[in-house]
Amino acid sequence: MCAEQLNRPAEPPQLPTRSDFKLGAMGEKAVLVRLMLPDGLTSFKQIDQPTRLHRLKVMRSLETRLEQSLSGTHPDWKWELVTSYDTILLTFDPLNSPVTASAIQAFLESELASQVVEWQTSRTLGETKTGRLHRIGVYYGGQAGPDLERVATLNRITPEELIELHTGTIYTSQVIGFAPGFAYLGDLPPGLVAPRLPQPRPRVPGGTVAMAAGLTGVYPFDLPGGWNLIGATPFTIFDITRQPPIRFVPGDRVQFYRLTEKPTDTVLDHW
Amino acid sequence: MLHPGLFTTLQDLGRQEGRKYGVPPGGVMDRFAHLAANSLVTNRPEAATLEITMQGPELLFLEKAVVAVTGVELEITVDDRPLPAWAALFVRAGQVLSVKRLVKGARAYLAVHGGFAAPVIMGSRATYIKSSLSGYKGLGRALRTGDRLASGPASVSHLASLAGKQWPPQRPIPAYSQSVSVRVIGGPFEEYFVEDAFEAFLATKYRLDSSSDRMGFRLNGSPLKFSLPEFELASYGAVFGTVQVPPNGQPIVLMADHQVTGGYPVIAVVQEDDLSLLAQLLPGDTVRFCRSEDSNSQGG
Repeated sequence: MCAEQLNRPAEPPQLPTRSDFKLGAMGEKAVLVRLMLPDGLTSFKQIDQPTRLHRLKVMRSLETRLEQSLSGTHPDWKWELVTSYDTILLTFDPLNSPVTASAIQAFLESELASQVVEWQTSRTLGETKTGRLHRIGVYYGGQAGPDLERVATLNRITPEELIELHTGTIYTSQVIGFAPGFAYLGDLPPGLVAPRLPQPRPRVPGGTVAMAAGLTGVYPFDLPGGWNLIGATPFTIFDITRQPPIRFVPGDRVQFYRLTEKPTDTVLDHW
Repeated sequence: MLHPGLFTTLQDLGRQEGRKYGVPPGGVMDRFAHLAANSLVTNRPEAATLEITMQGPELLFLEKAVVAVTGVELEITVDDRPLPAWAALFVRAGQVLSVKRLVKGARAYLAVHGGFAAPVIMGSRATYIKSSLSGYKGLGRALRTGDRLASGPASVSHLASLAGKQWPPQRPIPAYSQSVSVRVIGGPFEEYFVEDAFEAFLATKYRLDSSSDRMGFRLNGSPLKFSLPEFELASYGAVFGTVQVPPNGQPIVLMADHQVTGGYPVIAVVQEDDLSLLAQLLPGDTVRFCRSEDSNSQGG
């Protein structure tokens, strides 16, 4: 082996092939597309950050194709897609869709085959559109941020420094899950440690800003939660009367800024 | 509403296109009983019904109506006179309908001709308690004493002519029981379980834990074993009926109000038609799972 190859920095992210994916029935009217873990890995946690984001990009690229294809050819199928870090669930209305799991599987096989060819020939995952930038005011610490000091101490910094780090980063809305409108915003600055709580709190008030496992997020309403609570925002995150009802659409960017006074209704909330 | 019962909510067949926003489809737990109640009062399948949990409500009718109540071995009275379940009943203004304590199944459905009125959010009137969404007046809560429910317009001029219909025998009522057997399809995460885990899952009689609710049914039995000592999955989209297995090895079946995403390996998914049997279980009742014989799932 020549030294050049040994010293190369990080391997460029691979464009996926068909064998990187597995399709599995999720009951009678849904199929889960899984991007399998790289060889030798057994846990999602073991994937480094650039690879994790690359894999999410793969799933978003495939999602875009599936969306276009389903709207174009099967507008009456009553389908929904749920995209996460390494899976896409394609699911159909159990009562009103005549499709079977094997028909869905066949559809996905063919889409996946075309998509893989497209990735391999274009040598790219395609364009990622840059979403809106949201600026969200947060009142840090106090009653709403009971974990601020502990997380700061854990990282050997002051709460002030932790706030600077949290507000100094522009996050991307990566995945929606857990609860209506809850966006996984990432990534936290590298090296910032904030493990999940061993025992989740039974009730975290809506508007609470939290961090855990390399990510940050805002609880849209009162929910149980195991993340570290660092502050609160008076901004609305989920509003069922809006279209879309979520503030942080995947791909959107979010930057927090510090509110020096307790949140009041004088804050202008331009969604 | 003179008395709301233990936990009575407006439900229907659930929302669509909410998953990508993190909003689960929700809707009724026992689709068969809901559809039958609507059919008996000549409603469309998507009309909202009252989902009654364990303890029935008492309703004073301010106007005449045709109603039907479905569920497992129910006791229903109108002005203290016992009347049958799974039948269209004519109720006059001023009469009180009461559904007594449910003892053989967890849920009953009350449909009224015209369907219960409520704001339609994401194509549904179903109450989603956890996020206080939709349902009665869009408040996302269970019904309370003093609430006034309205129904949609009648489609016939003589309401009473609809009464008397019994559930037709050509589509029999599911074999509701306190010890059920439900069919499953193997789940998509088999490599996370030991090789004989699915067989062990099918061989185990599970008991429903008392912490079970509309979000999930927790089951107790001999714990299932994983193929790896430690691992973590990224969350993935799940469906009503998904059986996921947390680290303690005791399965959780995701029910109507499940989170859009799950986080544990899935060993199986309950077949649509058998979700009704499962939905009627009370804490302490038992369930066994068996392999789906449905040839349709192979056809396509």
